[in-house]
Amino acid sequence: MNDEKLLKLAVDSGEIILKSGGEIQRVEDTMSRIMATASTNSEHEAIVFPTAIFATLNGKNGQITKVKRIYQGRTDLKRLDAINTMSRNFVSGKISLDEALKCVEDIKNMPEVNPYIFSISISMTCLFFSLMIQGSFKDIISSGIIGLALGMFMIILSKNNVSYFISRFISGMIISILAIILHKINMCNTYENVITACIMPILSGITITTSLRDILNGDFVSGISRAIEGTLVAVAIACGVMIVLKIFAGI
Amino acid sequence: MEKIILQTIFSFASCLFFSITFNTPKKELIFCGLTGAIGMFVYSLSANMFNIDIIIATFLGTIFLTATSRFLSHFRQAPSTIYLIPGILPLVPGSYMYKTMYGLLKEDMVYFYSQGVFTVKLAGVIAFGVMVVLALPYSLFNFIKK
Repeated sequence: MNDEKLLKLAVDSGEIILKSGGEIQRVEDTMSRIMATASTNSEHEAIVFPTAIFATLNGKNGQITKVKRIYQGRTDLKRLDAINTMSRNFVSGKISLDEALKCVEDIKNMPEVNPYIFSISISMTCLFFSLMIQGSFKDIISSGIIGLALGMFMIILSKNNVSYFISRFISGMIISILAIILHKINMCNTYENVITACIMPILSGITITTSLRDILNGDFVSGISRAIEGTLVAVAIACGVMIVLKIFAGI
Repeated sequence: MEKIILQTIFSFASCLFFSITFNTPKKELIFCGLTGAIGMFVYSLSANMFNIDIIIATFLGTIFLTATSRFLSHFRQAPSTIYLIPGILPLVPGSYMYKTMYGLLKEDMVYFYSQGVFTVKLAGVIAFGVMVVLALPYSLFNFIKK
């Protein structure tokens, strides 16, 4: 068993899980299980932060360590599920190390969400959300329209590698600007219902939830940093909405 | 009563579409919607039929939602994160956050403070609900032999 390949498998799998939205416990657990297949006497450690992975394996070829810097990824549940399945299969022996490495490469190249489907889904989310908070008929249609625009802007912003907070800030501004325009042409009754329905998808309940799981598992560094990230995102969106409302709607 | 049913159905739909944006595998989509629907159903039932305080209703909704996601995680052999992330969406306090912002813009500090505290309370209660159910031992959720 080639220890370097095993370490690479562990670190690559960990990176994908972390980028796709998994919590620290899951990443460290998956990496440990993968590295434990080296041999029964091997020592191994996996330490994970939201921005870095450190893994070390002390197998028959001596001690090797791999370090990887993690950059912001997009929550991608298909990859999360796929890596989970792959690691289960590898650890139980159903697939070999080389097959597992190939599988990880395939997962990295997995297509992301189709941009059109993404925009339509965001639009439908906002629309049903507006229905849920009992908006009027006009509000509901407006939410759908703004949701569609929001989806398209999010795709554009992510393609241009805009910083996470700036993109949330701009999204908040876009939602408010469109809400004001639609209000002016009498397509929606109040700003409140429409803006509320449309900021829900970007309010990142994910980050808060993941940070809680981290804190619960004792990973305070990751938990606290993600909690702050989640809070700052909410503040960024609020600022975006507020600035536009202040300037253009005179509120 | 029909309000409760409608909110549950719309919550199912919005969670389903929201989970599409995360590239959820197709076979899990319905279960994501189901998780959100259950969370919203419990919340709506508590708040509208039993007139329970909104904060406690949110807490109950979160508990049932997280329990469903853990149960589904065992049943479908997939990480519970997949069901939890879209399921949280309906319960997150978006409208109170908007009201907080509005109060700040209008410089009505009393309104800002009251809505702000309410938003933080709701967020905290969701956090607490998720934490409590996630801390429960796995053996509580795997009573269907897979």
